[in-house]
Amino acid sequence: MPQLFFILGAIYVAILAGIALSARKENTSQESYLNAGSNLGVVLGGLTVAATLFSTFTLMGMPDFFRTHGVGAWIFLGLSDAIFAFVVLWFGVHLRKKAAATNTQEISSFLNSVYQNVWAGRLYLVGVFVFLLPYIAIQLRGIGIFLAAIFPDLLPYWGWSTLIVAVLLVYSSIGGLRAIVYADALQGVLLLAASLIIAFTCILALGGVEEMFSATRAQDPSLLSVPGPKGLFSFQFLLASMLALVLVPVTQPQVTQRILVMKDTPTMRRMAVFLGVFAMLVILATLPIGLYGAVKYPELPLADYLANVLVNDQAPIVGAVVVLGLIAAAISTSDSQLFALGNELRSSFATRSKTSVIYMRIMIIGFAIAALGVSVLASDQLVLVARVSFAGTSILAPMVLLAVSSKSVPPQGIIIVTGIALCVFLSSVLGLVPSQINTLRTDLLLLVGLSLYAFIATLVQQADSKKAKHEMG
Amino acid sequence: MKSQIRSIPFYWSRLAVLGLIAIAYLFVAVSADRSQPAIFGVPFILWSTILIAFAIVAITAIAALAHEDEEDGPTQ
Repeated sequence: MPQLFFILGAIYVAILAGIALSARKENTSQESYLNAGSNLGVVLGGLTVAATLFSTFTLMGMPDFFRTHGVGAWIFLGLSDAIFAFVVLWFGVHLRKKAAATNTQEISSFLNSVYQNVWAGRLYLVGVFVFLLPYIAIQLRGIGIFLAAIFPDLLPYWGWSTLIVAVLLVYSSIGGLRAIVYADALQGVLLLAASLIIAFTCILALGGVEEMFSATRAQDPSLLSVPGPKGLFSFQFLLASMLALVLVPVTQPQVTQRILVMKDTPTMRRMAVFLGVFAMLVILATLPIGLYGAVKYPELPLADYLANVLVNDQAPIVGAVVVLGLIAAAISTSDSQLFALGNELRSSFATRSKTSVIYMRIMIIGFAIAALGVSVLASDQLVLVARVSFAGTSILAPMVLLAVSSKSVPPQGIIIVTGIALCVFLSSVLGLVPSQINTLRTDLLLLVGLSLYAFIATLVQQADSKKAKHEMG
Repeated sequence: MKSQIRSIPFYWSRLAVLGLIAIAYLFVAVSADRSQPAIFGVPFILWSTILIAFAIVAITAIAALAHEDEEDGPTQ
């Protein structure tokens, strides 16, 4: 397997180099470097959003969720991804209209423009940095540890993480967003192929679909129900997770950036459908991989289970493709997030001058080094922040949605209230305030409270505006 | 057929998706910790939510098709 992996790895790196150089040729302007020419088609757009969304968690975390917590994992991510695709369609249409009207392509500058208040964009930047940087770090750490387990004599885990960061920095610096999008498309295809092949071999090994469920029932019947053997998939947990995930297109810059750089709105609409179908296929494929683990390796530690199901129990070529697919997944999620963070910061502090791209490159390198440092020194508290990163960024959603839906300058109070809610949420993650109030989760309460505030403040503003018009008339 | 799909207002797709989400989470609430009817061994909570997820994707496709002529131009 190692020889095969290194041959395929060399081919993969060569393809990445080709992609970076080809993208560099196609990038005739700074706009092209930053926005891939705002010309993405359905398949390329769908694959890049999918690759950005599906991190290593898809092929490492989801099977383990099915193995440990049962079929509720489908509701946790599969059902949520279907809703996610619909939100991309619905929100994307409105975002594109409003962004065109304000002539902005980054959410922080869009918020500054709509709210006419620089603190809106700054708060957004703080929110995404606090939650996305630890997420990137944990991603790099996870794949580094997995590779160190598969190839124990080659490199320590931080060596693998450093190598991955070096590769992604080189090609994204050379080719910009276009290179990242092409690499994402390659990763999307690898991920789908790897998941389907492994799922098929797992079903075959268990004797068929019906036998797979029978064997799982014999192992532990609670795996075939919610909330699962450990009670994780409770109604509230599933609802809160769904809300956090479906608000990703609203709040996370790597997704909004891709919605905005689609060729046109009809293409963006079709991309949402492509994304929904792709997500269903990938998440359904992780179900048999997880149930195979529940039947064959119920007691094994996570790393050993993954090494067996993804590599050791597969044909050598499949194992090599899977390991490569996991590296590609880690790279594509991290590079998209780093590039989007750099672009948001650039738009917030610099104009579209030639030097702003140079600053952006420096910022991306800085963020990558910071994420790498955090991944090596990851403390338990950082792991906690990374685990709730989607819930954390979802706190920003009412402020962004208000900006997209409002016909005039939205109520400014939402900026202050969102800032307070972010502080309360972070405090709850760090254990400084309770994570549940009575029986309700703090993140759910904050999201509902912020949404209610946004709704009431808009109604009051509209009433005031009507009253003022009436008095003037 | 295509013209019929295009005449569907966009808010219907939102209502339909919200309805399906409500049904899915109702199933989650009522089927917790209970033995469930199975089809080909697949438990109710799984096949029903798989069907709902595909129905949401189908509604997304209809909504995308229904309004594909609406163009707001490139963002820049």
